Amino acid sequence: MSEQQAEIEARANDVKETFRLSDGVFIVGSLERGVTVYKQQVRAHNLVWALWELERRNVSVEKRKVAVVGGGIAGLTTAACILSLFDQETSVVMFERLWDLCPYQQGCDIRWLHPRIYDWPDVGSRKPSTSLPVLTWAEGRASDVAKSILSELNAFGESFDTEEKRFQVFVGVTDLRITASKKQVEWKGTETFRKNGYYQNKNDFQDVSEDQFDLVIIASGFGFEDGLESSGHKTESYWRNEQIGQPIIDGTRDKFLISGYGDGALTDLFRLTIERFRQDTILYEIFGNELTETETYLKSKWNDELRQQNLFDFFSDNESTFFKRAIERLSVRIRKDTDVVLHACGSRTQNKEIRDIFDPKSSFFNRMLTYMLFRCDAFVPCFLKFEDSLTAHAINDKNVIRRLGCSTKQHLKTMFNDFENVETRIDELDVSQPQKPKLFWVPGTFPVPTRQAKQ
Amino acid sequence: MKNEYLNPEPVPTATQLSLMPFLAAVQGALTVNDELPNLRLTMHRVMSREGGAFLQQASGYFPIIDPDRWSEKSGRIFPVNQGIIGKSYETGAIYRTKRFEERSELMEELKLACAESGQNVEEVGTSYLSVPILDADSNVVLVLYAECKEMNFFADDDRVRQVIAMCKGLCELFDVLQENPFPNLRNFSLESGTPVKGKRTAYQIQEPLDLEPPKFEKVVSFNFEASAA
Repeated sequence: MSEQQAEIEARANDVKETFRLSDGVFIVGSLERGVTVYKQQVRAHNLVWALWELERRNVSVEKRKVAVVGGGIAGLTTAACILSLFDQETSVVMFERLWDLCPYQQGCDIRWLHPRIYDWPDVGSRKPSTSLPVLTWAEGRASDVAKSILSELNAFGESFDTEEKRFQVFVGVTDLRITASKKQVEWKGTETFRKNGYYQNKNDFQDVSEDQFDLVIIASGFGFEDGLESSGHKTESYWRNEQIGQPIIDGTRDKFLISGYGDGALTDLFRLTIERFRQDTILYEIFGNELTETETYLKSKWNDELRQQNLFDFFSDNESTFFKRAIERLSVRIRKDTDVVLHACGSRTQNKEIRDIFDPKSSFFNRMLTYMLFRCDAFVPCFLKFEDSLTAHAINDKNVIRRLGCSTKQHLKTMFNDFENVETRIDELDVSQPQKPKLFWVPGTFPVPTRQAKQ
Repeated sequence: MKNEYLNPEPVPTATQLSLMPFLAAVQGALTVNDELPNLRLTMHRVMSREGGAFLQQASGYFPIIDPDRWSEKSGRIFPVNQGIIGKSYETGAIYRTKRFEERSELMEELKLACAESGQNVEEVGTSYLSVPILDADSNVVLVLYAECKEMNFFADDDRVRQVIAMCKGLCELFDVLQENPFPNLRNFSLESGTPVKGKRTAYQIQEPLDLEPPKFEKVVSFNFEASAA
């Protein structure tokens, strides 16, 4: 084996290990923090490449069956990578809880997806397209991205599953249980068949079944959003269309409370406080002609040490220089029809003052914009307990938005018959965060569909 | 399971489209007198990936023979020392196939080269040209690649000068667009990287030319994409 091959194999081994829950059972990104669609796709590429790379020199050609749990973008990318890279003897069975693939982003017109804007000011972070070999897409509304991904998935199916035997999809899946020690999956769901990129029910009934697999890959995301319905307050799921980003059209002003200070909460903060807010253009609008210079400066400062730090002082230090004009531009765009309270006490009521929310729990971009809005007096921060905040600020029940993240471990626990076999490993992955979203696969690895398949 | 890592990775369509009319024009200039057997013309760009620099084919080959399959080679990634384009990358110099008096001499040298590389001598070109397009600091940004099966085709200095002049026009255009981009269409800069090298180097039949390669004044990397802003 050449030195290069040995290096590739060693890298593949290391990468595979970062995804392993137990022998033959893997998880894609559910326990990682700072997750984006793009990063999940990179992780899917990395895992499938590693699995393939370590097997490719095996001459035995045995039938191989892979279970992919989750029909969202991570699961679809995993499945398409497998179809592309592994031979015809390898098939994928996908399990999706809802009734279509990529269900959350479909029809979502209020969320803008960009591959790497949350990596800003890193080099290349403003590039609009993913340039990924499998299921590539470019910035757009979530609904546009979903459309691209599903269209690309169909092209992969047309190219690599021409007889429609390699990719089997179950939708409406309930009662899914994994026995990790046996690589076994039990489920209740409806089998589908693929027709022109759509997945139609094969039967009117749900199959109750179980099967043993060679590999089980969990790409089911993070579970259900916490706190959407509690104490009489209902918040729509992050991916559901609503109107808070639009001007109020009955002439009134309204007061809102946003609970949370991760990327999701902060994006809603921007929608509620900035006039004509567009996630795709705000960076260019606030920095104008100074964007390149500012970006160059910030890149030079954005080192490993700063990435781990609270950014309040950093923003404060640059307020009168690099951020001065941006804050001025933002200050004339504060919405006149809303008052906004940002409830940011934290899950353990640990936060006491505004600087506490600038810990590395959200992207640089979002923290920067939040700081600027704070300096424009665009919102009122609040660190009381949740119910006390509502009372103190007289918030109407219908104007509460809770973005509290997900209880991922609880979600995972419900999926296993033998959770005890994977619990320790889950805790390890949660702490160590090893699934780096870097492009570990060898360039040129993944075969791609022909142009005819894409049409 | 066989895979030599030769599959393409995406090149933004705006980048491809930026280069295609230019390549079509070069094709026209090269074939003005006669059809040129087995001409293959394309542009490679320097790109980086996790800190490593590579050459990437940024367009399908011209002339377009099969429109349905034409763009399939676009996106292939190569080590920076691959073939004649690698020579241009490493030296910043224009390379071309040297002049041979007899075809038999040329074929003899090509056979030796193909024996080493494992290629079929009947399938490879017999005349090659590689024109690096540099940035202001003499780093390679693009490499124009051409090959055909007409002996000594690129040994003609006047022909090479014409191609260089066309490349200079390309540089002037994109320098203007770098400073005055179209709305929603930008050159998103690529990170520089450490050159990644492979095994397949240039045939011995290639020689450097003592002609100044074309240069951008403003452009340092080539990655045009349509964007929302």
